[in-house]
Amino acid sequence: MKEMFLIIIFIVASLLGYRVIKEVPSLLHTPLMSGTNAISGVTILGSLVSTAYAVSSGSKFLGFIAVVLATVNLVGGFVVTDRMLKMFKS
Amino acid sequence: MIGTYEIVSIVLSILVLVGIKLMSSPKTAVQGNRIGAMAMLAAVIVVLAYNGIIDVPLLWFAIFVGGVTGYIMAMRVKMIQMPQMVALLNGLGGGASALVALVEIFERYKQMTLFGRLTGQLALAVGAVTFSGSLIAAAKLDRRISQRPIILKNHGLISNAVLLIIILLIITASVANISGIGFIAIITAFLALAYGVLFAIRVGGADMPITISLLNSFSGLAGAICGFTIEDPLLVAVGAIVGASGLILTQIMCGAMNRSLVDILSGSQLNSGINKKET
Repeated sequence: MKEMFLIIIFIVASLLGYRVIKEVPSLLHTPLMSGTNAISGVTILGSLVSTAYAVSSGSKFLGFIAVVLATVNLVGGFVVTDRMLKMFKS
Repeated sequence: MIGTYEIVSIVLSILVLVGIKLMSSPKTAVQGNRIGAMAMLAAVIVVLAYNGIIDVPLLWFAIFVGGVTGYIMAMRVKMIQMPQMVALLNGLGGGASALVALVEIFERYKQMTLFGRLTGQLALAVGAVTFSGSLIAAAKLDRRISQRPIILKNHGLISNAVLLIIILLIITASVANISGIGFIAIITAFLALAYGVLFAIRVGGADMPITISLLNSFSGLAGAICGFTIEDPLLVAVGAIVGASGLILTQIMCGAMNRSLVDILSGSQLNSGINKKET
């Protein structure tokens, strides 16, 4: 049941994501790619949960690395995008 | 089934959609990026609170290390190096998804349902392909590797063979209750890393931005599949949004450069691509 619910969410979110952008000026291709790349750091949610519940220290270590990498992706991604977009303004 | 967490998930997913929408127009792009960042910050806090893990010091330490590293990297990079920076960051996200999948497989394989095993293995493979593919893309853009397409003898055959073995391993590990699952998972991860390399070295430097956009879509997909494994609707939703919008952006970029994705991935050069296809 839970699985069915998750699959439905996946399908609905994919359809919405597929329709959200239609026309993008080519100037914005890279910043948009960079911005959505930052959001793909969302996998941090998974890394936080599995690290917290991991029992063996090996798994905890791998999970720790996962949280670090995902946070670099998130923070770095948003800051980089912000810098790129600011450049266009000036 | 629909509780507070699910409702919060829907709200945050809509925020992410709004952020991406705003980012696709010059006037609102800065705002869109910030809305995306806010939504992610809120998502992290909600997930920590909902799972009762907000007071785990290890997690905050990891967030601190990653946050500082990410910020310094992003501030130091020169504008001209942006594409390779994005590729590198994207690779890290894919790597994180692969590691989460690995942890889940190591810790919970015995208790997992068929669905959990299948999605765990898939997330591991897609995440690992994203990781190595993005690192190769970054190295090519940074001219650490030749920008020309590197095509091995029987390149397509080797890639397909590796992909086939990965699929067989995923199916075996999902259907059968394997005792040496850790070993199988690590083999799968290495093969997926190899596949990512094979996939990215074939692409020429000029086509790299499109490849990165495609890999960006993969990293969203890897996150969404991770969400299936740990049964988190918010991760599934946001991952799927990034996966799908990344795919459409890839198509838009192909259109703008007058290139077909198939040509790009097979490593054909710019001029030969135009001769072959008019899209």
